[in-house]
Amino acid sequence: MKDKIEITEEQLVFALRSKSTVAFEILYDRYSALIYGIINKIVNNTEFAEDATQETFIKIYNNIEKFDATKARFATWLINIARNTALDVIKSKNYNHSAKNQNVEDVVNTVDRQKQTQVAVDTIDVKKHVGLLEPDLQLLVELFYFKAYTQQDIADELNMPLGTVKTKMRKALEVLRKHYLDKP
Amino acid sequence: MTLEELKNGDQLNLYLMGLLPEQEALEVENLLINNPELLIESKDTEDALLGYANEFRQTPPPSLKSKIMGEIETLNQANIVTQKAPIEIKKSFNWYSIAASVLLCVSVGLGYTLVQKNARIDDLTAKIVANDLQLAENNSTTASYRETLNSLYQNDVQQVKLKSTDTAKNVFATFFYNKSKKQLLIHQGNLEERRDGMQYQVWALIDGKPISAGVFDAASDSDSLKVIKTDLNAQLFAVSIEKRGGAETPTPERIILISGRI
Repeated sequence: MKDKIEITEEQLVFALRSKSTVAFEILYDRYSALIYGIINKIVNNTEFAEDATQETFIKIYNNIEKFDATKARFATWLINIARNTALDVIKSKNYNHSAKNQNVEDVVNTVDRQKQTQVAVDTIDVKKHVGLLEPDLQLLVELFYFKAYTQQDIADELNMPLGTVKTKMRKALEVLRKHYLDKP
Repeated sequence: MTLEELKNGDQLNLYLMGLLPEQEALEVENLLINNPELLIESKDTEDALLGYANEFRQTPPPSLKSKIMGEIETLNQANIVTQKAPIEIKKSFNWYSIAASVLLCVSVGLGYTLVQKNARIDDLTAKIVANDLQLAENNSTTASYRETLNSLYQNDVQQVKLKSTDTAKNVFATFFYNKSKKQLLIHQGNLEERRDGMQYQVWALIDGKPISAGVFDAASDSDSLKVIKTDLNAQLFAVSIEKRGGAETPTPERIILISGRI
């Protein structure tokens, strides 16, 4: 089990740049749950999530030289690649075709996927983590963080004034900072 | 983009998510550099969002790992086939040593001739030869030190401090990097002499990829500088402990020293 090897993130990135297979195995052991979790949260389909996770690792392989530690944390960089890959998936014909063939219970979601907007709201599991954020704040954060919605997109989507979206977003980020960093 | 726009708009969040076009991302970076408070806040937001993202971790199906690692292996195989010839690392020539050797040969030759001509001055000849030898060695050493010192005092020599990674606590070494000469002078710092068949290997990050810049040994209580002459134009350096002769790629858990960006 390569994850038993204790190496720092700095060492890992350095070794990844040499395309070391061992390093990629360590990367997988360390970050696959995060990458797969983010992707599955966005595509809400394990089959598509697996394919997108695989594509994400290939993108990491091909672009590791572009990672700049002075600009972002490594995990942020990985999540950004995973998110973009997942968002490409939900825009793809295959994904929408698959959605069309879902059973009757998913018909509403299928229609929404074709619209490419409402799907975001529907695929977000707002029941999770309600203790951390109020449901309306959680929805905002997830539209922004997982679906890459701008504040204007959110305002349009939720029929909410832009000013309200900005205020709620600021509040939501404050809650997250307070919770994870103990900072307001 | 103004500071107010950055504070109230989407750009900072989109920047954190890597979604801004390059030009806008540069504008954000410039504003952040000049506003430390906002920079700290953006880093905090990034960390908070990472914490939030971690809540959604989900173990993928076990079969996925072998599938992905198989893809990586295939890509590596393809890379090996298309890989360019490795960059040749020129070995260092010490011209002073060569000069000293020539001088030594001449001295020995001269001594030999004298012995042949007059056996009575054998003893004197031997002393001359010995003196010449010593002189040549001293000259060589002095010249070598002078050359090293001159190298260090060049304008474009950059001191590069390498710090230990977490797995190799409290080790350090210093490199002096002469960009115009493409020359690396290595002060071994507190690296220990290896008696286990391993050597220290220097890696230079070139265009984002680690390229071997050569191997060296550390001698106990040595303050001498080791010279690696290389054609590489490095962005940062690292040192790993590898089997004698060096490895083709750095072994992740054996990387003990890493520099900052040069």
